[in-house]
Amino acid sequence: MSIQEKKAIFNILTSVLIMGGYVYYTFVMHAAENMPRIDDIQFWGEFTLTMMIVTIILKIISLIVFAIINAIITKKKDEDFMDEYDKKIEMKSDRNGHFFFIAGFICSMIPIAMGEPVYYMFIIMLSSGFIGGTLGDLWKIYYYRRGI
Amino acid sequence: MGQTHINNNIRTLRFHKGEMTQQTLADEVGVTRQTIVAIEKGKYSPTLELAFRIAGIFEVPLTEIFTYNSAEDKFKKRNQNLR
Repeated sequence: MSIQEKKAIFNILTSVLIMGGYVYYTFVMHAAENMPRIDDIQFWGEFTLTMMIVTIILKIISLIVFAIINAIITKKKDEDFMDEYDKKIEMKSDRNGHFFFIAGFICSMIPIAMGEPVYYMFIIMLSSGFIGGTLGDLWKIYYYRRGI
Repeated sequence: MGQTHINNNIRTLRFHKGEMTQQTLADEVGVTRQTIVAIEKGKYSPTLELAFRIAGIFEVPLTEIFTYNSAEDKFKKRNQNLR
């Protein structure tokens, strides 16, 4: 398995752990204080911004850990090198993931237009962003296996 | 997706070049070994730039390495009225 495939699998796992952990922290561990605010736009603004910061920091840390572990196991340098094949696969898989997110973004407007509570919109939007990112990584693995 | 319409004989040329490894060829042309594997298997058509670099390593014309299978390429001709 190539480093890019390993990185994509690692990315999926960390995304699931980070997102799952953050949702669990917010809606299970601190349910008493957060659940009553679920209709409040300010709550969703705080939730989204905090999630973005937490995700960026934890992703950077996890990528550093991954690079260290990989360097120890494979004893190879310059593993992050990307050539034209890698870049093309990355562009195609990111495009597919972004298509899913855009579709989710448009769908998230439907409950608002129908007069449903605002949390439907945020749940659909954030879920499509998460699933879109995960699908992008899955597509990456698919393209590496099948070719482009 | 998957198989391209460009065939190549890189494997044979590597063999005639003293059983050159995929890694050596990859290093010489500035790509990863995985990319050479994908090209050899016909899973990826390289850019012209990379194709010329590969041809340069084997010191043969481009057409001796890559051949185009027009019979399998089911591309659609553009409507001539659009010109």
